[in-house]
Amino acid sequence: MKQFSVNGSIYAADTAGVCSALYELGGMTIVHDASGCNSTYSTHDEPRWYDRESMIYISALTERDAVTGDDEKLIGDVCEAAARLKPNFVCLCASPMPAMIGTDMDYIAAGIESRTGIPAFAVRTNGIGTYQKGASDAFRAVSRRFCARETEKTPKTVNLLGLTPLDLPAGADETLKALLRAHGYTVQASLGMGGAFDDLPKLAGASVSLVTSGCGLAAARDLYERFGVPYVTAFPVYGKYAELVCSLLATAALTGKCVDACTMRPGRGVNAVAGEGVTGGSLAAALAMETGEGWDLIAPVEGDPSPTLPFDLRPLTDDETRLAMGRYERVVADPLYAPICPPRTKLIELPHVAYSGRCFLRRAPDALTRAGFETILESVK
Amino acid sequence: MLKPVFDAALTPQKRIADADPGALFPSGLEYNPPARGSRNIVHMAMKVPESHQIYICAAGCLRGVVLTAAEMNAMGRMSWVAVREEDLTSADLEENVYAGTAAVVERLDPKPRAVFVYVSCVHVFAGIDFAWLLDRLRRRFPGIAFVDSYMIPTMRKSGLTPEQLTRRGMYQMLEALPVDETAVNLIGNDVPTHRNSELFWILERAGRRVRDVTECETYDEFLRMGEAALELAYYPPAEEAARALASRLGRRSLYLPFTYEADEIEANASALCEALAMDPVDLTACRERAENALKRAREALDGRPVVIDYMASTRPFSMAKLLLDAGIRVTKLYVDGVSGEDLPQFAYLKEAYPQLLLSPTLDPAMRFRAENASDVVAVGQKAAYFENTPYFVNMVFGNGSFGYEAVEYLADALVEAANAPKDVRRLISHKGMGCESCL
Repeated sequence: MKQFSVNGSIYAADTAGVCSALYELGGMTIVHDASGCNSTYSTHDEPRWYDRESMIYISALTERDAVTGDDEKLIGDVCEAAARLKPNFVCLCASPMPAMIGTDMDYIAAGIESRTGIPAFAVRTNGIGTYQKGASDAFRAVSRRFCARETEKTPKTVNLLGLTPLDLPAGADETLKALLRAHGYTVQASLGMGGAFDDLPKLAGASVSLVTSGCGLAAARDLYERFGVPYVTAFPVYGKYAELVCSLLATAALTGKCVDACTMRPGRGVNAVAGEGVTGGSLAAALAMETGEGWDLIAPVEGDPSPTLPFDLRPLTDDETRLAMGRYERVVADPLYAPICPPRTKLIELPHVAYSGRCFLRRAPDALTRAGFETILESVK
Repeated sequence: MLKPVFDAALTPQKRIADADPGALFPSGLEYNPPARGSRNIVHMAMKVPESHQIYICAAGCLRGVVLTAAEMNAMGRMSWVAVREEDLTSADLEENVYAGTAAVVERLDPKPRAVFVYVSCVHVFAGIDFAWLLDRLRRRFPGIAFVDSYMIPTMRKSGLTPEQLTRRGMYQMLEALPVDETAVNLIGNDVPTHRNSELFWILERAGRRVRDVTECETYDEFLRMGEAALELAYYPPAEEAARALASRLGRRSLYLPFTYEADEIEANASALCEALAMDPVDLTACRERAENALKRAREALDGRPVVIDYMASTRPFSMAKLLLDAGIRVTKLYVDGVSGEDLPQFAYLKEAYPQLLLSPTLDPAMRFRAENASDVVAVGQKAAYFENTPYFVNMVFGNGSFGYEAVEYLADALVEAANAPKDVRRLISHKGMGCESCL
């Protein structure tokens, strides 16, 4: 049998990843879908929805549209809305039905761009892939589209890549800016929270990128390949680990070599963090530094591009996740893993929006801050 | 940060005098405002005690239903099977649905009494043989009632909506028991009906007992709904459920459309009395109470503008007519369409109050709501959000009110709303008003 779950949750989908990645760039993102994708995204996957305006819409696809393959309706609807609201760009992505009937989203995007003059592109989704793939492809798409020219590197500047609230705490952009400022850096441009459309061309001029989640890796690699901007892969958890990350930024900028700091952990331990690779791996590394114990990573997000160690586990099903968790004495994971975590393993709850949405937002400690990380440390004792 | 570009000119707001009820606003891209009080298919099916829901869908679709269950602390009654990319073109679509559902049910301990098996748009589009599939499941798990259920928003305009189908499916497991002439079923509601409504008064006067899935605590109690002689519905999406159940069990059904119109309220009462073979009742006292409540509301509002959204009631135009005729200053309705039941009230308002404004909720420009807080009194969560007002009646499809009692309830709620600001964000973020929430 393929993937199923009894009483378990599911990670946010690729379409949510696209919307989350592009949320703050002033573009218009349209999910080609009947109705559920936007409702799910705006209710469960997007903590910014109430407070911060962003042009995320659905196409309101109907059976008739699907049967007749009426692409013109979507093109016309987007052009009409874009003419009124004047977005910086238009991004299209597809839910399962358009994917099933083979809707050519690239063709539709080209039609919109030619009629409106507004840059338009499609990110390939099908409502089946994970949020990481959607966000990752969306970040890379805007980076490639709007940062086309090499510029001179500005010393002590950092790109923040992959900051979606699906993986990172709300306000992480401000916390990270403060951390970097304290170490003599300024933020050149951001992909995700705190990002600005006008800053996108500046991505090429940073001395180094900080990739805070797996969602930012594809864009980081692209910027490295096209413009030679090296990157450090780490979610700088408060304390000694954040200090290490800041020093690695300097090393990467100096040497031009990329560094995976989320795998800087000792050998196989009796504890694990289950979750997204970069944030989870970094937390495991930080916990190892602070507690002196070994902490491994269980990376259950399918296709997670984050770097891992050979003994880290990549379960694909709930059964495999149960087996993986059963190998450890303690596992830090989202509270909705409770039905999956075997009784002999102690589940230490750390909410992850990409898994449990807004269910536990109010009691989610922010590992980037002193208070948040101390709460986590206290809970693992 | 994106700068708010709210501009009335961007939004296709219009006077009712200029509106065509068949096409209030152009269709196009749709926005989703953060008002979460309405109940979805998960909330509805959860009303059946000791049941379990299994969704066979793509991740994007699963996410919404799974987290609905999580927020209502009901993950123990929710499971899923993921549709994978290769399934979209697979000839084994039915086999995958069967095998996935069976694998889930095998692991459920204790076994549920009923399982809602939800398939998605891609299954229906591919022409899945659901009856054959459920038949196999019933043979394999003979003690469990399997209900064919549909999460098919793409087909929402092609017949019954997923909400209507779920309401109909919820009663599929009921079997015709020996008829109890004193039992009446209230069908398809999301919340219990107010006990002080004249509906209950009439039923009690006729010596009838009311059964309602929203008040059943056990599956066996729910199954006893099979005894009722009359299937009664007043919520429009439940009409088909009552009709289908009555037809299958050989019972009578009666639909009493929810309304704020006095003549329709009286007609509903007469129809109910006739169905119960009792003499007509005199509702004068109920009507007078409602009229007095409206007077109190008019005095309390003292000319303050009132706005209404379609999620507050299935009859927003009927509500607006009631309030305007009572001297309450309704200025705007947030509506995306006009239901057939509300067409006469739409026509009346167009003639009598041509300046009344209509605004869509789905239009893309609605993303940019009013920036400054107002003291407008809103009826409904979406109206409160768009108007940015803390003075609002937190009401989703009537909140269980009915008849003249609904008028009185609305009027009293307006008085309360006008005087006591509410925490809009907290209240409207709660998914499925009336359901448990972990938020």
